[in-house]
Amino acid sequence: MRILIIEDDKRTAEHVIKGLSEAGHVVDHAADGVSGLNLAGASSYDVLVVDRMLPGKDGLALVELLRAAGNQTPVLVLSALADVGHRVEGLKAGADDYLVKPYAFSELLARIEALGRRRDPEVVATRLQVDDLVLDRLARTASRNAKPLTLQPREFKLLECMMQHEGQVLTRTMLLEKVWDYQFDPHTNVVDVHIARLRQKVDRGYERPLIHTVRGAGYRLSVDP
Amino acid sequence: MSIRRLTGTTAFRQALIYVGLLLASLGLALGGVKIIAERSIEAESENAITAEIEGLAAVYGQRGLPALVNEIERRSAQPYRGGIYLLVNPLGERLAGNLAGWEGPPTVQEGSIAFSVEPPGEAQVRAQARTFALEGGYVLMVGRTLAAQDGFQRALNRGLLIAFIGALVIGIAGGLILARETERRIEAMNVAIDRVRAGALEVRLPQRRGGGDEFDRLASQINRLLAESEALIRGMRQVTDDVAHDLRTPLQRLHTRLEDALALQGEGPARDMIEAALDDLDRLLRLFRTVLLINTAESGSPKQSFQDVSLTAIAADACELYEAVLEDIGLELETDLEADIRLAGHGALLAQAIANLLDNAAKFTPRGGKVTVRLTAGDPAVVTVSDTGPGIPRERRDEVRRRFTRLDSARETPGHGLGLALVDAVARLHGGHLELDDAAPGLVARLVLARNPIHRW
Repeated sequence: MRILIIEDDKRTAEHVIKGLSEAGHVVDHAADGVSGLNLAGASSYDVLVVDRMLPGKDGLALVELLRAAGNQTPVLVLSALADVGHRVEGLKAGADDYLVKPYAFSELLARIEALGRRRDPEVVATRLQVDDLVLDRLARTASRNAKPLTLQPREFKLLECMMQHEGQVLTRTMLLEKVWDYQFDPHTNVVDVHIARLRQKVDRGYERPLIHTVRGAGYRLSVDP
Repeated sequence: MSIRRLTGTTAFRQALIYVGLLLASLGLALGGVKIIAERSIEAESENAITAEIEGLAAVYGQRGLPALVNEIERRSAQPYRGGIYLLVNPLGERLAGNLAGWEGPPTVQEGSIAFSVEPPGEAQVRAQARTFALEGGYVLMVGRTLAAQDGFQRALNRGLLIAFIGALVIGIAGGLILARETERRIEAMNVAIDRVRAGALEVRLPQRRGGGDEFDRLASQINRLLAESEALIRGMRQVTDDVAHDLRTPLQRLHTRLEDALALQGEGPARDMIEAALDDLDRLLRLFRTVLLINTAESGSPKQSFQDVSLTAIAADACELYEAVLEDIGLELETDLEADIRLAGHGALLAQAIANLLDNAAKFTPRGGKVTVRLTAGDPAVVTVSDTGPGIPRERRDEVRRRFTRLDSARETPGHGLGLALVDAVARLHGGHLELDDAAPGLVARLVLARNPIHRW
């Protein structure tokens, strides 16, 4: 993917660029809002990563300008402001995701990759399939190896979310946001418990597990371990 | 504005007191007039009686008894005009006059005598008379009925009553008008204060243009206070935002450096140490986030993004999220949620508050116990989370709402003592409070939430 990162903190930018490059992405960098806006307008990116507090231009104002100009590139806003209202403000301004500093790089990578894939037409698919695991979004049924799975509504949603992001790492906070619509991190590992239950139903008794734990990051559903 | 509400106001009470005083002084003035008028009428009628007696005595003295009898008969025979005459001989026998006779032997008294008469064809009236002894033992009595005085008195009483009722009606109506005017201005102030409390810090109390009455002076004084607290609150928010920004960038770098170090480091004790440091950092950040969240809830500013939310749905989602967790650690979850309880609130903060209560129950309840979540409608709505854990001693229930308070029994469990502080702040943000009680055994936490915390009338 081609990624533009607009971030004034040099050290953070370097680290992100290095990490994203190692993950196989092509990264451009702008250190302030004005040059960021120019770069974003000049060429086509898969994802924009924008710091909320930028010299020269507020990150959210930049997103608003881009959207007003008809640029629909997915935007991830990075912010040091964790107030409850700020996330909503960011999404209202046209951002697609919002990540509060400091974050783990794995969290950032997972979110960037999820955003980059979002534009694929698979979003509207009514039938999802990974190996012998099949999920029918209209009938709201799932089966593995043609044997039906009995899933609670929330388990179905969790599986649906993971299959939509097949092969991508989903962090615990991402799952909480997408499946439970929660913007906070509960202290106990609630997500782990729900994943464990889903695993029991999806992977138990099969030679090749589909739900994988990614150490220090989250979970991934894929054929490859 | 209801009449009941107006009659309860200070302005109305003051108006009533004023009307009372007005009526008292009116009563005093009119009462004085009445007494003086009555006295002068009485004196006039007494003078007339005295003059008539003197005239009749002169007739007797100059022309003798027959002339007097004639004169009295003449006067008595005239159509009745209020005059009373009686002439008796020393035996008390009537010689002339329009009264039936003298009861008993005639006596002469000094001054007026009062009695009642019943003139032909008229109702009984009061009368006043004087007696006069004539030479030869004859006694003459001349009097007047008091019909005119009584009529005057009745008219005066009627007039007084009308004046009293009129003053009372005008007084009460005036009191209501005054009360409404005062109430209107006080209400405008209350509305403004409610809006400030709801988070609109820039709102000020209304002041009339050019007006300098006591309400305007009070409003301007309160407005100065509001301006000061607005400056303080905005300053505090700026500081928290600044701290958040200033601290987070270096913390981000620290996180980054540790992640870099982790990438360079193979397996071994150093790797474990770096991972432990990253864990510590994450905990620190979580604490930092929670403190900011409590600050935000306490500032009241989230009230501006209050929406109509379903408390039932929020509680059900939280229960669903935690049910699996509780089951995994051997706890039973029982829920009893009344359907479709809606209120004006902040969905994310309410969810966080209920999750915190469930989190606490999960942490402190021993295996085999039970956690109950109950949601009851009404105003206020109440979310009750009770467990069968050790509970919190009565004397420490206030303390645990404060930040960073941890009971000794909680030393072994992870946490920073911010959970209940956040729940408390969220409850107060929603015009309610957090109650902690004994479930015997265990803890009952009640999240009490006003159904409509912004406008209460």
